Amino acid sequence: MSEEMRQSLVSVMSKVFATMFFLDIEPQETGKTPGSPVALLPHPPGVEAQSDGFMRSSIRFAGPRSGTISLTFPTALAKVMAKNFLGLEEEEASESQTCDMAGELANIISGNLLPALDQKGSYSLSLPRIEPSAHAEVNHHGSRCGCAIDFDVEGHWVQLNIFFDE
Amino acid sequence: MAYHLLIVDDSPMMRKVIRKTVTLSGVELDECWEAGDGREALEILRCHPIDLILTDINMPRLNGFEMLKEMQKEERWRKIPVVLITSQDNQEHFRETAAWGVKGYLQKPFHPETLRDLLSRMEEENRV
Repeated sequence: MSEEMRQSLVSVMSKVFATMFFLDIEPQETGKTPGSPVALLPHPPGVEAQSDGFMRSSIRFAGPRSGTISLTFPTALAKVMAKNFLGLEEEEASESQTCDMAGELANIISGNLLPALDQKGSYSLSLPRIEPSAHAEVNHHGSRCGCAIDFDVEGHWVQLNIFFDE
Repeated sequence: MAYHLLIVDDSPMMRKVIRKTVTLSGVELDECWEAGDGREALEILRCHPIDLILTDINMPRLNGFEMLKEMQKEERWRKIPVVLITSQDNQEHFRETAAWGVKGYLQKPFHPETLRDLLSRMEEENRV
């Protein structure tokens, strides 16, 4: 992944997390490039196991290039994000609100990210797909190129993945 | 001006957030209706006098563009101002839809002030 691409990804993630959830986000240095098989782990190295598991929100894009953008994050963080997004004060976000937030997040990240990566291209997005997961890492053996960046969101691990179809 | 507003988005949470953002922006509302997709929006348009639509594009059943095309078939719906609320910054889409009553677009996520400024500009253009 080029430094320019990495900066675009970090910039979009920072803007969206700050505006939607009032959360600070810090990129970590553990990003990897898919292509070699990615092992499915119960949780990434250095990240504590999450009792509620993880959520993965992904969206397909089609245009000059096609592929998938996905975000993986602990369910506990997703609940905080949904609560902040809705401006709830005391009550917790419900499961459906949390899923709704996860889908909207993938939609907004993808919509902001693709023009940042390809200013001239016009892309269409699928509806988001939300999956609860006991595993933290994404495994797209069918995709040869793409990138992954790990983030620290106020002590929680979040991973952004972009996979381009061959 | 107090609006009869219709918010169209397949995410119930996003509709709630948009409604809250409208309130925070200081825009006056007379009534606010919500629809989960273009089909529901057309049903509401049939029964209620709407004078502003804030709509998402990417929705199941009938998406935002398809809804705009349907609105062109009804004389009374053609002049309703529409603001697209979309995750994508796509000027080409906006140019294509200008002929269908689309007066502006907001890219998610957006601040209340951005919405207020856009609606003020639209009202100003309307007066001119």
